[in-house]
Amino acid sequence: MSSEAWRQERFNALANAYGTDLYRYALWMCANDALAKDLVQETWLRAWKALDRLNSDAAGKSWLITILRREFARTFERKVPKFADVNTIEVREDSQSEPDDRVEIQLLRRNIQKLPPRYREPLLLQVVMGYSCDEIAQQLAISKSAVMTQLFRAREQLIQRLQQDGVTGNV
Amino acid sequence: MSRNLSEFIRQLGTDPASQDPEFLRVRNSAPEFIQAANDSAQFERMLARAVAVPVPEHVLADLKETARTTTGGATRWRYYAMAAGLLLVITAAGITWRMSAVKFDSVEQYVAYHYHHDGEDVLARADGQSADNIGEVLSGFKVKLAPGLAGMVSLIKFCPTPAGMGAHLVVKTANGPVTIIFMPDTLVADGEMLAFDGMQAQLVGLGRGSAAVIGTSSQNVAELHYLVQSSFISPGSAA
Repeated sequence: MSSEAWRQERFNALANAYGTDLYRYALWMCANDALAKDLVQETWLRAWKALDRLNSDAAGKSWLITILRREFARTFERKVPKFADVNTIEVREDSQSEPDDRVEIQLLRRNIQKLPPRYREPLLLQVVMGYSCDEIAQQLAISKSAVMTQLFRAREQLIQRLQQDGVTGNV
Repeated sequence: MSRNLSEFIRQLGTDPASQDPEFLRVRNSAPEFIQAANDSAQFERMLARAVAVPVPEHVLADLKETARTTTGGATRWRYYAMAAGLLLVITAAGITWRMSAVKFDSVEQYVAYHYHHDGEDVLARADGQSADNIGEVLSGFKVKLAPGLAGMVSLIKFCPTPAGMGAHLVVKTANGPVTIIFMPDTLVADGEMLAFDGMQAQLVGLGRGSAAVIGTSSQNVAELHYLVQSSFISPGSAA
């Protein structure tokens, strides 16, 4: 296999493994589909260019997240135009959901958007990207105890807001 | 029992999928712990569904295709050399670096830096087809493109500008593709010409913000001044 074909194969494997999660992560960071697509494309282009510097495929996920977060910081360096109120963000629903479930999921999505970024980002790294507390601490360059506090407060706020929204049940 | 319920609930809220043996043991140690674990599991299921927003089918295919059509490692050294050269210029000019962001003393420095950063890459990505996301990108800036210029756009994407986010466009012209940087919150001296590394750019004042039209020295970017100035219009305009 030529080195270029091997490179392409390696890239495709990374894209297959992390492409959808990276898009989801970007969408939650940007709250705008067009921005998220743009951010993801920039991330993958930079990944493609720098692929030879990725020593181990096992490090691919954190490497991609680092690139994405750097691109996000670059794009959002200063002020960001208000593309959409978080309350207007709509995503397609799972057709198999019960109507009550859909309402709860939609409320939860809106409340995730309302979380302060310092709570939202660790939560997304954990739930979307499957990071451990140690990995989140490393990615965000904060202590593990700070990560644990932020994760707990994120969930605490989400549950409180769901209860304020009238969602009963055991949340 | 080695830990109390509030401690257990805190751990559930921090790392609900923990496989720590002590955590797993406590989970089943008493009815109130079992109840807390069940409540947490129900919330985590809902949370997992909430964050799993549907991903458009074309996202993966698009990024693979983009990589396939983008020059990879072969030109990387040239790219780095260019960036290194620019870094020297920027350092000499006294531009302040902060985190991953670059602050600029002038629009002229921004235009040169931004084009160095990814101008050639973005040009290479423009495939000559008409872009179908113009409205999607520009709507956030409360602006739209008049049909004439819109029909010439082959790529549009978000980009940083000296005063927040803007848009990076590639437009097809008779003399080849030209780059336009839309800066919605930056004022410029209308008509000012810039030159850097074989490229030339003209700054264009717009009704809202400004633009930089960038081409090679053999492309007469000034010819596009009127078209660009009259084409970034408010969404309510009839054009």
